[in-house]
Amino acid sequence: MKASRARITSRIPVVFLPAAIFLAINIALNPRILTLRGLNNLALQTVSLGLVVMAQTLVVIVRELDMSVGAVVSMTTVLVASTMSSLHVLSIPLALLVAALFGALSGAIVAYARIPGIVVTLASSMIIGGLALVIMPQAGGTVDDSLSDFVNGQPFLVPDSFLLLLGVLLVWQYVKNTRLGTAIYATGGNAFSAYASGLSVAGAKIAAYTGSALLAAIAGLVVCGKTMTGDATVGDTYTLSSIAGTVLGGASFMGGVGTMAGAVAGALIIGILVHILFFLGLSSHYQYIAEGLILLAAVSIGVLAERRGKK
Amino acid sequence: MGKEETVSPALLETLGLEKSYGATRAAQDVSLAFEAGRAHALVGENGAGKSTVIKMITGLVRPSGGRILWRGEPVHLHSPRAARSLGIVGVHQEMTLVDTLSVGRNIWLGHEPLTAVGTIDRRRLALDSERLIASMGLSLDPARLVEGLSIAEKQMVEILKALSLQPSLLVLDEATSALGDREVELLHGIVRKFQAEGRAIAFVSHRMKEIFQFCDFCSVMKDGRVVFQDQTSELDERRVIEKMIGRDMSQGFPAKQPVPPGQDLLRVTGLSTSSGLHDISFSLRPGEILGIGGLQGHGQVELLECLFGLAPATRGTIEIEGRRLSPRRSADALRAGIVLVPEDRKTQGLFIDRSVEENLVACSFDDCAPFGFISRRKAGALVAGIVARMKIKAPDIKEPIRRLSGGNQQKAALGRWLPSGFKVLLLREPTRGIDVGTKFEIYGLLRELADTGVGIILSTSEIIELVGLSDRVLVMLEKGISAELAPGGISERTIVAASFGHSLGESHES
Repeated sequence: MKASRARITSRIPVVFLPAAIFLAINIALNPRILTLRGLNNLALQTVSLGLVVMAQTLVVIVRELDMSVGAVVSMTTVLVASTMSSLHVLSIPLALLVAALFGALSGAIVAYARIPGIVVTLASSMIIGGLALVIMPQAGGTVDDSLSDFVNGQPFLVPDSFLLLLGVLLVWQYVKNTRLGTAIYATGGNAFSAYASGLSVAGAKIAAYTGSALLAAIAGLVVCGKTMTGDATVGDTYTLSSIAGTVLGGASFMGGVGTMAGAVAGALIIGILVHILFFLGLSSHYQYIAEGLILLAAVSIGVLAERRGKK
Repeated sequence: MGKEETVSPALLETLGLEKSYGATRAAQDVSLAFEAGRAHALVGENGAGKSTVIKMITGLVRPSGGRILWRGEPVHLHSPRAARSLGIVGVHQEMTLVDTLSVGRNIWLGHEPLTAVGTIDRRRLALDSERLIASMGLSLDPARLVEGLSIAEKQMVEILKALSLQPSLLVLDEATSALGDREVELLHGIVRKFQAEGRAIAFVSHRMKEIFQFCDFCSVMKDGRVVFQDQTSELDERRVIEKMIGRDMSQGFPAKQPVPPGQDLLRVTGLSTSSGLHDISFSLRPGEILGIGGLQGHGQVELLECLFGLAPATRGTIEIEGRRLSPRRSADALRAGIVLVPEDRKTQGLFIDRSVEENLVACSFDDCAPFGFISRRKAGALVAGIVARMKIKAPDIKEPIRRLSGGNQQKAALGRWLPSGFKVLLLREPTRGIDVGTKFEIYGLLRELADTGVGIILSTSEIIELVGLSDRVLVMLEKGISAELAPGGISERTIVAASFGHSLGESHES
């Protein structure tokens, strides 16, 4: 019994330890980060990544993958930037609705046609990304200052967009404890059990993909607020980073395991890493190499720790 | 409780129920009645169609024909959820627990107590779980993760999970296979209580004793049909088994012939391993079946693993036909002619999702693929040979092997080694989860194999198997050998005594 409890709790330190180490390195390199402004910058840079990692984690918990998070981010910036001049605030719910529909559709295909989600969302990411390019072949459009003010503004010490992360965490805290949340974890843990226990496996998968698309769209809004443009390719790098962050955050590809707090920590590791490389004066291209190395190291440590725990 | 002959309408009734998978008819013309207050046993060999029927009445599989009546009304059980809403709950052969959730969460999965805001009421869930567990006379922490439970504990959680729904018809499909005597006794109490409350039980088990202990009525299935029904009070074990297999059981185990004297095939001297085996010495002659007995966990698994090169010896020697062998990996053992048919054929013995053909060819690539490509002709001939020799019943060898019954899977797991011309066969629990008729078929096949000069080391927890099949028995205790029983001295009594360290039979000294 102690061993099984230890396994749950062991996932959390594994995630936060490297985050703390990176933060320490970062502070050593650049003490200015400890100022309010420095922390705000870091937070701001981590928000959009944090949202897509949470999106991916949600899908990984039901033992699937979502290859379309990046495309949804791009699509959202394009939709907002191309409709904001006419629709104003309404372009935001429009973008969220479109994303949710795409997510629900992907989820329904995965659940009912029983096609692996990685294939379905690879296809949908091409379709969504292509549509975004059709709507806006070159980056541009207009974004209202108010969105930028919201994303970058910091009336309560932290940027408002950081509150988005907290909001999502709170909502998840609720959902996780409902039957839907149980169905999501149970579906990932053992789909046959979930079905034989009278849970809706299809419902859990559709919910996970819809939630994932919504979170990716919120990340798109944040990106849009930072860049003030719509760009059909801006989200491209997010898909792989979201998977990396999910793994760093302690979710298991075997399904049924993963936390949103872990997802935020995973995103934080990548965010701080980028920061460090920036202050070392290295090009952002090194980011991918470093990200890959850290991913390997984190997963190896996790696997080794688990193996030791079993012995 | 008395068994009055009142004619009560059946709680659940099937009329001409049928299920086909492609051309195979898994069940046909199945008409059964499950009455309130009754426990109804469904028996039959593996592949007889019991599980298919059980899956149809619990909503896991949709019938291809026929009707299901619930309290006299026709119903469509298109999902487990639909079946549950009527009060039909199944405990299935396959574990349906979510390893990553706690015991309590598993018990109430899908019908958790909720708070006013729609979240799961963890406090009540914990309390209800504790109450349910205690009412069964068990001690289990509901907060524990299912992942860490033993198989018997998991099976109890499965049963608790079904009980938490207060079912009107409780379906137990091989729900006792991993339980110990105490747990079976607890379950027996529940079954009796259920009967007294006017609920019904459908019971599937390979353990004859339980069928007579638990059930009032027994239906025998064979080849997808119900072939016999009667009150259990009118029946005895022998009669039921005869109905199941359609032949007289007195033939039983294949006859033993004295093993001809000759050179040892395998000789093990003073073997010790880091897995705890110490000072193991024995020999095996060609044509001999050497049984390994003992309580579970006393080194049987470790011994087979060591001989197969999975756990190298730290001391002692292994000789095969007089040549020293120190297997450090399975390839070393295979090259020397030692093969292993492991305990769990689904995960260790077979490529369960691949076809029958691929599975049978898997151990003979070199014979079938002279230039690195598998020759269809050679593979076909090889497969046909194994299927005929092992009497494997497979409607289509291109089909995934998981579709075969357990007995036929086991025959395939054995048969795929045949072309390699092995000398020593290591076997672990060769008939686990296999019905009685096929068990005897497998015993016959093993004896035939031995008669060709192969040496067989048989590790099994079924003492009757050791007694009926072995030419000699080694009993293990605390990872050593506590007794070696010679042909005249093999009996249930001597094996059990030696398992506990009492010397009743001839004591081992060599």
